[in-house]
Order: sequence, then C-alpha cells, then structure tokens
Amino acid sequence: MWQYVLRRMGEGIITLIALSFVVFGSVHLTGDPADYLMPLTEAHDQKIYEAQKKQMGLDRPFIVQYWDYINSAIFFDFGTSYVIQKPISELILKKLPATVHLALSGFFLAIIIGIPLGIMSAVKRDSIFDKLGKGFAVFGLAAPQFWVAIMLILFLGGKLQWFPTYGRGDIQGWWPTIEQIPQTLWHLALPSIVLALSVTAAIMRLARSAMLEILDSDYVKFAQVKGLSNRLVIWRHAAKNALIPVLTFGGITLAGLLNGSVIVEVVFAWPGVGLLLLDGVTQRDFPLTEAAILLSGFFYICTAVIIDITYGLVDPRVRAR
Amino acid sequence: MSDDIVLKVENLRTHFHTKTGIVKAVDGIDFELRRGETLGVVGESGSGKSMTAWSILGMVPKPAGRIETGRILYHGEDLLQKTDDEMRKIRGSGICMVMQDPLTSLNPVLTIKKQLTETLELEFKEKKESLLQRAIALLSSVNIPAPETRVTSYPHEMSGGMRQRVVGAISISRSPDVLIADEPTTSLDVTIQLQYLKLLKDIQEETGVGIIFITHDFGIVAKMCDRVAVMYAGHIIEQAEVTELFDNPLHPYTKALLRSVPDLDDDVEMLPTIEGQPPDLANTPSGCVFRDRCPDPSDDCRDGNVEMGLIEVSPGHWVDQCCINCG
Amino acid sequence: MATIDFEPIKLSYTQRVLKWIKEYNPPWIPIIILSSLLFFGLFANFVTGDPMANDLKARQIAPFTDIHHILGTDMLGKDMTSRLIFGCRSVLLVTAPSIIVAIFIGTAIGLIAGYTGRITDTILMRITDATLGFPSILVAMLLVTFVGTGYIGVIIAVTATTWARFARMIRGEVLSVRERDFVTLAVILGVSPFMIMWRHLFPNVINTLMVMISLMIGQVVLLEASLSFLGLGMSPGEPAWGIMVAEGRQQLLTTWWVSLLPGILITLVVMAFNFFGDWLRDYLDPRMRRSR
Repeated sequence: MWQYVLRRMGEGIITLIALSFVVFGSVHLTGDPADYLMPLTEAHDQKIYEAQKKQMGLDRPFIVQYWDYINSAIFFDFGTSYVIQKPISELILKKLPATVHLALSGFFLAIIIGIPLGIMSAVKRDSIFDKLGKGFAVFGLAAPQFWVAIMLILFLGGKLQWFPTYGRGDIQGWWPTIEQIPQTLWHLALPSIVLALSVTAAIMRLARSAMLEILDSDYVKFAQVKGLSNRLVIWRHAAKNALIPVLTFGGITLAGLLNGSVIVEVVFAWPGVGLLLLDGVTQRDFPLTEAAILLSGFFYICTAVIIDITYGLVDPRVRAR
Repeated sequence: MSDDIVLKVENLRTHFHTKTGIVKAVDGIDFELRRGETLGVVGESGSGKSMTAWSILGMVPKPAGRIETGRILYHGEDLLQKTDDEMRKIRGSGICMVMQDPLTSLNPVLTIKKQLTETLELEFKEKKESLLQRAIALLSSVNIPAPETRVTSYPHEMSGGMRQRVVGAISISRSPDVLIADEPTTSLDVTIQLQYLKLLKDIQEETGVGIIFITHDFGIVAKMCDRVAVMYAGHIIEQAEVTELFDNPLHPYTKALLRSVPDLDDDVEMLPTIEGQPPDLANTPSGCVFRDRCPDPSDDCRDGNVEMGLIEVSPGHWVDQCCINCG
Repeated sequence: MATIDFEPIKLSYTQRVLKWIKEYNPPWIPIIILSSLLFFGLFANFVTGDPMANDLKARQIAPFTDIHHILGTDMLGKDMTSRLIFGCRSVLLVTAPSIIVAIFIGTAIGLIAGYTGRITDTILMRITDATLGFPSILVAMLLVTFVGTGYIGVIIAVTATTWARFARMIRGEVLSVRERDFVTLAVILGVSPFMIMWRHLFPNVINTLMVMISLMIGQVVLLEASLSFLGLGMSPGEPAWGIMVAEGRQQLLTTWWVSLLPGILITLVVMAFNFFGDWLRDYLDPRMRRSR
C-alpha cells in the first residue's frame, strides 16, 4: 500500500514541475513581457527600455528566470502584479476564502445529492423517480452554467427577490461573525447551487449506470442467495463497488468545479480567485495570470493524487498494480 | 410425504412476459429431492435448468418473470406462498446455490473473511473472534491450504479452483438441506474439476445435504448423481436413476444425447447429431414439444394432440407420455 | 442432413429503409435539431437579414410583440432572430475546425504512443492524461494570455482541450490491435505497418470515433460559449450565442430575452448532440458484434 502511495506522490510532483515549466515558459517565451509593460509606464526610449528591463530582471536567460521564479514560488512569493501593484500572494490570499467557501459548498452539494440520487435511481429503475432523475441529468449536462446562473438570478433574485444576486455579503476573510452567518449562507446559496449543477448531473449519471451494472452482477445475486438482507446487499456489496467509477471520475468533477468557479464568480460578482484570474488575463497582467494558474494547477494535481490514493483504498485490485 | 424428501417440485411453470410474447422458460415440471441424494438436471442451454433453480430460490427476475402455477414444497411447506422476508430466511440456511463463475460470484472489494463471516453472522450470533475461527475451520474443510493467512486475502489473489472452493464453503456454511450447483465446474480445469466433485461428495456424506446438480456434461452425471432428470424446452422429458437411464433410455432426445458422447473405443467417423433446433420458447408447439425433431412420431403426436406429462414406465423411471405412443 | 429450403425474400429499397427505422429507432427530435443547426449555419445569409444591423428606433422590443421582429431586438436594436440564426453559423465555424484539428493531433499522438516503445508511450500518455483532466477554461485562459482572443484564439484553446481524448482512444485501439496474432503474422509476412493500420485499426476506430465526436461536440459548444461569455472568445458584438447571453446580462431586467433565448438554443443543441451520440453508440455497438 505504501509503495503505491509514494509512487503516486512522486508522479504528482513530476507533473507539478512540468506544469510550472509549461506555465512559466508559455508566458515568457511567447512575447516579451517587457513589451507589454513598457507602454504602460514610459515612452519608447531604447535606453530607458533596456534599463527597465535590467531592473526587472527580464534580460536574464530563461532558465535563470525560471529558477528564480520557482525558488520564490515555493515560499509563496509570486512577485508583484503589474496592474494592481501589490504583491500577488497578498492578493490571492485575500480572495482565497471566497473561492474556497464556494468550491466546498458546491462540492458537498454535488456529492450529497448526486451519489445517493444516482444509487436510488438505479435501485428504483424506471420509476417516476428514475425518470425525473434522468431528466435532471440530461439538462444539467447540456445547459451552460453561465446561462443557468443568469436565469436563476433573473427569476429567483430579480423577479422573486428570494436570494441576493451578487457578492458575498459583509463577510471578510474566512469566518463570518455570528450576525453575518445568515446572510453569508444566503449569499452562498445560489452560486453553490449553480456550481453544483452540472457536476451533480455527471455524478448522478455515473452512480446510476455503475449501480445498474453492479445490481446485475453475480456477486450481488450470490449475496442474495446467501440470505443477506436487501439493505446489506445494496449498501455493503453494491454501493462500495459503485464508488469506484465515481471516484475515477472524481478528477473530472474537480475540473468541472474549477471551471465552474470562474464562471460562477464572474456572474455573481463573487470576489474570489477566479474573478481575479480573469481580470489578470484580460488585462495582460502576466505575473498574476502565471501565479493563479500555477496555484490552480497545484491544487488540481494534489487533489488528483489524493483521489488516486483513495481509489487504492477502496479497490484492492488497484494496489496490486 | 416421507421424512426423507427435502424438496418436492410440483407442476412448476415460470413464464416471462416480454414485448415479443410469453416465454415459457419452465413449463410444468415435477421432481423430488431426498436427503443425501444428488439429482442431476441435464439439458442444453435454454432448456430451463437455471430458471428452475432461481424459481426454487424465489429470485426469478421481476417484473417480467412470474411463477404462474405450481408448488415447491420444502419440508412440506410451499415456498411460493411465502413472503419475501420468509424466503430470505430460508435462503442460505435451508437452500443455497453455487454459480458457474467463482470470480464473479465473489465481491472483488471485500476480503474472503468478510464474505464468510457475514454469512456466518446470520447463523451464529457470536463474537467476531469466534466467527473468524469458524471461517478458518470452514476454509480448511474445503482443503484450502494455510487458511489463517488466506482468510484475509481478496478474491483476485486466489486461483480459480480455490475460489470455487471458497464459494462452496460459503454456501454450505449454514448447513443447508438443499444445495443447487449450477454448472460449477464449467470454468475449471479438468483435474481441478475432479477434486471439486470429490469435495462435494465428501460434504454430502458428512452433512447429508441434497444436491441438485445442473450440468450438460454426462460424464459428471455418471460420477456424481444418483438420479437424473433430462430437460428440454422447459419440460422434464425423462427422469430415472443414473444407471437405469444409461442402460435403458426411452425418450428419443435422451437417446440422442447419450449417443452424441462418443465412446473412446468406438471407431467414429461422424459424430451423431440431433436434427433440428430447439423450439422458440415464446412459440412452443402444442402438445409434445419435441415432436418436430422426434424420429418416429405417431400421427396423433405429430398433430399436436398428445399432452405432455410424465408416466412411470418402471419403478423410478419416468418418461414423457407421448413416447409410449411413438416408440 | 436436413436442409432448409427457402426463397430469400426481396424487399424494395423503401421497405428496407422502413424496416431499419423500425428496428433501430433513430432519435428524431435530435436529428431534426441538428439538421436545422446545419441548415441555418450554412444558409444563414439567405434565410435572414443582417445580424449586425443596429436599428436605434427599434430597440429593446420584447419577443412576440412585433411582427417585424418576432423574437425581439436587443439593446441596440439588432434583430434577435437573425442573430440567433447566425449564431448557428458561429457554432459550425468554431466546432468544425477545432474538432478536425483535434482529431489529427490526437490520432498522431495516439498512433505514436501505441506503436513505439514503452518509454515514448509513458511520456506521451502522462502528458495526455495531464491535459485530459485539467480544467478546460483554465487551459483556455492560459492560451489566450499569449495567443490573444478572437476567432483563432478560440479554435486553438478548444483544440488544446480536446485532442487528448482522441489521443487516448486511438492509443487504446492501437494497443489492442497490436497484440493480436494476425498482426504478428502480418509483420512476419512483411506487410507494412500502414497496411495493418488501414485494414485492422481503421474499421475499429471509425465507429468509436464517430461516437466520440458526437459526444465531444456538445462539450466544445459549451466551452466556446463559456469562453465567449467571459470575453475570451469571439469579439463582442459578433452573433455568437455566448456573447449574446453576456450582452443580455448588462440590462437583465429590461432585456431578459437577450440572455434567455440564446441559452435555450445552446441547451437544445448540446442535448441533441448528447442524445444522438448515445443512440449512435448503442447502434454501432451490438451491430458490430452481429456483423462479425
């Protein structure tokens, strides 16, 4: 078991290094950041240009720049944002709580609703329940998230005024004060629902089809032949096996969450990292873009490794590989 | 009914209601099983052998499948009258089944220990340690070497022969009176097959369990069974003691089946076959189902006028009544 | 030996088609939707007016209130119907090239990975897997940073997130075919790898490829719409559905239809592709086994 864990962690680190290379390289090799920066500050005097370049360290060889960058990055120093003129780590840290709150609520909503719904859909096959579930899944996978968000804002927020339509409320940072809790939850509601939507649909579909296959399998029949109660058969034998494909696609779920959080943050003006990243991209703020993508990538790879390790815990056949 | 008869099936009909028609998987069969006896059920694929087993266990796939008529008497009680809960209690402790492929019969993500103890739990309300001891004892009774270490392994870590023995151990762990074995040796090597059959026989001697052995292999029938029932298209067309059936087969189908297993000593140029195809179970012919393939049907039979039903021709030897007329 | 005599029944062409329809039950609504998409995309010019024409006298007309503008107009008076119809064309313009390029790249990488040694395979597959899972919008954002926005940018971004799936599939097929005995035999006999690929690989791959394409197109449409919505895609003002939804958002309460209608179309189109892809997969799968 430990061999497997170490192996996966090693692979994760290699992927991380490769990612940092790709991110850094694509920004610095495809157009001199200096060119983009100069028009913002000084006139095109060649001497001043060269001097500025030297000052920013942009004239050094690529590898040196890369090494330097990585060295600071490990200690969470990503340099300064071109546009906002503040240290990037500070900016990111400030926006992080919002994104984390959003992502976690979306994630838990999706899992808590998606998996049991999928399993029950399979057990009560072809019932009304199943048909509604399938309809929901079809819609959730086809409707564009930004559009659903806007529609929900329009009807639930605008016309019916049931939910606030933007922002987080008054909460600052990680923890709300006691008075802030209700409004925090209220603001969190719509964005997390939208975020969870397509992910829930995908999970439901997966759990359902996995469960159907399992219910048909010989070992489930044998468990019944042995005389086990239905409850035991479903939850001990079947569900555990159904978890395997769901975990397998846990990575895709995660990707969906990361994707979705950018869109949801934009639509709901949610002050998180996604919104920060988008601004960075549209404003050509290279250090910011670099840092944000690198961090997201880091997060994604870490979670992927954790999922793989969980996979190994659930399915003993994987450990043997 | 004598005390000796553990299971008695009367006029069992299991039909499937599908979009294309009613498929008569099992259409009126009768047989008995005594204590310590092995009844072989022989027939080609689709003859209704497995569905008979599922009907006895009360696990006919719903909603399409339905047991239309019949009684299944287990220790005198009709199983078809029982509720789901009551059937569940009987499964495993009274009647149990072993399926063809041991790899898929075992849950790949649970240890052998878990799969054994969960069954034992249902029978013996004891502590975990004592259940574990029982599990280990069971494993050694089916000749699994080093059972104390084996018990914590996973199904994919064992060989096919071992897996089938584990499945066998699980199925007899609650000392059932009836064990249904649905082609358990088909996926095993020939040498492993022999070991497994011997194991079953030993278990039967020790516990007196009645075995219904479903197979298409007459060689196994000769080795294992006391009595045989030959099934065709959902009907039992002949039933007798093993030696009697081999020496004196009456139904043309039985004769053809036995003929198709060539003797090693004979000089065979062409393997004998049975002409024709088994009938479509959604459209069975009226009267004798075999009449289209029978080499010498009587006129009455050919027109579909003769009903099916077993007649005792000599003590213990039953054959379908249309054969009396035909030949 | 008994022989069965029968005359083969000859069916007319129409009868055979009807029989096929009855047996395989193609999904009609998705087919209609997709055909309409294709039709409007190709012939948008001939069917409707200019989608970019501002008409300040006819601004913000709600749908179903004015004969001249059945589906209403947006904030600058552009006719919704034309814009929606021209949106079909944008969909085709973006998805077709991206998928084609993605297939090419994916096939090339898949072939190389499957055919050459362990090391190349492992390296290529690691790269592929990493790209496969990585959130597509983030990848697109990275690419846009140095490629820029606009039509070409979108195509590159979409291609970059799609090729990996095809690469994986092709590699899988190559690996399974490679192990077969008849391939070893062919190699011994001196048959060129190209011939092997053509004769054995290709037929297997074609079926899976078609299913994969229909299922992927839905994703591509969604991705492009999302990118356009975020402002990273097509230029603002273009008649692309994602952009339209973003425009509507600016004055949501007053011109809500500008956001609602394109979104409905996107959902319908993606659903149609998904349904069609599912049907296609079922159709091709058991049939493949039967015809063998």
